[in-house]
Amino acid sequence: MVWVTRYLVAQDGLSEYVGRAISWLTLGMIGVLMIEIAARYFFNAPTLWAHETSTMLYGAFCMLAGAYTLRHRGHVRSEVIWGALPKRGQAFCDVLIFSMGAVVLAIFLKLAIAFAAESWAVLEYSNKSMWQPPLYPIKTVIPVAVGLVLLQNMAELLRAVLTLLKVDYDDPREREFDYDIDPDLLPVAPDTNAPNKR
Amino acid sequence: MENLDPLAITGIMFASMLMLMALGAPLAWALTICGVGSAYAIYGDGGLDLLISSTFSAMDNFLLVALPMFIFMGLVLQRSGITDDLFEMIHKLMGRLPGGLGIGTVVICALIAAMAGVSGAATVSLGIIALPAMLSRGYDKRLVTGTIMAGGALGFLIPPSVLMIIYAFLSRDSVGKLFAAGLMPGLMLAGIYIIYILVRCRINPSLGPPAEEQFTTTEKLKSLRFLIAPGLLIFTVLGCIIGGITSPSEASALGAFGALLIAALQRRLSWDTLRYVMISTTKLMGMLMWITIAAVFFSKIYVGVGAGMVVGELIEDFDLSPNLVIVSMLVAYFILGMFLDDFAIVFITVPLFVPIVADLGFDTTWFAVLFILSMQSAYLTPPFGYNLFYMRSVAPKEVTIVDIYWSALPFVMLQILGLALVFLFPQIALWLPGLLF
Repeated sequence: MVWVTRYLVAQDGLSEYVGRAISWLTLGMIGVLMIEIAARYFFNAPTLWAHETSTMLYGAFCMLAGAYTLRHRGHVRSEVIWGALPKRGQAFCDVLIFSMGAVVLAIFLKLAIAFAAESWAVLEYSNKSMWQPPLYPIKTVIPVAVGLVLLQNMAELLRAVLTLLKVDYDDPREREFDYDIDPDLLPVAPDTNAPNKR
Repeated sequence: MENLDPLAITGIMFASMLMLMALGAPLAWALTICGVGSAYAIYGDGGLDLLISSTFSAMDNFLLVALPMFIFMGLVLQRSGITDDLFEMIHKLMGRLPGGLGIGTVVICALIAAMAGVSGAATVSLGIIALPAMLSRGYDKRLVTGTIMAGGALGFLIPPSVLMIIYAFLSRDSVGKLFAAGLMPGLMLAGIYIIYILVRCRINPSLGPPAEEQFTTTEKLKSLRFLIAPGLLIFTVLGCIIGGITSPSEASALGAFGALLIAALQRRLSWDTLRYVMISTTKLMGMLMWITIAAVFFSKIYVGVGAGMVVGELIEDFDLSPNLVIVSMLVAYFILGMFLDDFAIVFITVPLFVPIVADLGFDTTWFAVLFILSMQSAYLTPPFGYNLFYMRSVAPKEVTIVDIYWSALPFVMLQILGLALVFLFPQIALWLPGLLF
């Protein structure tokens, strides 16, 4: 089962890498909007580009974050019933959910590629302001982000299938400590070696 | 499939979505799967284009830029030690009053609520700082846990509020107006909590014994300096939004920048802090964005088949009085809140409920405040109450899960009282926006 572990390490690593890289865009958004405020109130020269740039940064940031959130099990789910099931029961539900998810995401990907291709074909630009930036880069983000979520969805599906079939495999994520609360604020440092209970 | 009755289609959509959610599907998955299924069944291939248009409309929205900014701001402040400073201040100023620290905790919660857009911030940091401090001074554990959890829930009502921004995005209300409408009910609720603590500590002083330590007047006055930085930040951000000086998104960036500045000036901004804040914002926004897309898509389908009209006709057929309709919506919110996340509820119900509320001739801003008020109770009601989870993860061992559940109960009652007051006297919410807009 070495290949399973290798695959999971690679897939989790990809989502992790993308998530960490795009997290910098938060500072970008703050910066762009601060420039706009400064330009408007201190230099009396509002920019043409700040609003659309920050909106595009926001759109790209949030779309691309989806795979990172899935990798860290951060998409909210109702655990009222699911949480009470035994491990294999949960795996059974997950197999159902993530296999349907794979189909839907594949359809989404196909549509998104067509959507971006259309924009590239006419070299579409925005007509919201005088600035008129090209729209095809931001529209290209959609298929990329959906593709990344689909890839992570497949890793989740594989995990659930193996657990359901009682195949023994080594999940590198089980050894991580995932926290919802800032670990530095906790009165007792979290035990990073403890298996993940979620 | 064109002959299917809209009510049946909507029923099937909602039933299958709730079934998937019960199986533990992430909300975004449940909504997308049911949405794609029903769009294909009703409209064929063309219906699926709605998915792409929903995606792009959620990405291409300047208003929503405020979401990551306010989340970022709240996370920085949580790390910047403002809570420690404020608690030290109220300890010096109000420690000698019976129940004084409890009252001060409500004040701190209101201040944090005015700086952070999410509800967890105050509950977590006060659970860590104020809870052990009050327990060691002999405060009743159920009174203080309840105070901290209820105070933390004020985060959604007192602006800035992430939930209100999403509500405004869905209902096309103005964010500034909603923020203004939330302010007075938020302060009123904080006042109700304070009165409750005062009354209980007056009847039974052992619930909140006065502190022994004495402080000189100079020390007390000096401790007021901790109010300067948060005060400036609140004044700037809310002033910019409610006063209409900048758009909410610009004000949110200003707030995020200001929070970074405050943390840096207090030498509490480290490389690790920044990285933690950035990555946590990423994780939260990935969740919110994918739900936004899925929910906008889902609601476009059921609005498209005419679900809203059908529900409206039902109300007419049964000849329900408008007030009864609002009450039943609020009861639905209360019950949904026990099982679903507040973001799930806002996305699923607003496109359905708000047009009905408008048709009945009610003010949608007022309804938004009622909605947020009922979501506060959702944070305190088991089995799915966020503040209960947060409290359990930070509370010391002597506070059991049973204590936490029981401690929430009186405050849920007080929240329902607040809800009833705003329902009976809409002016509480509408006075300030009426004055400004």
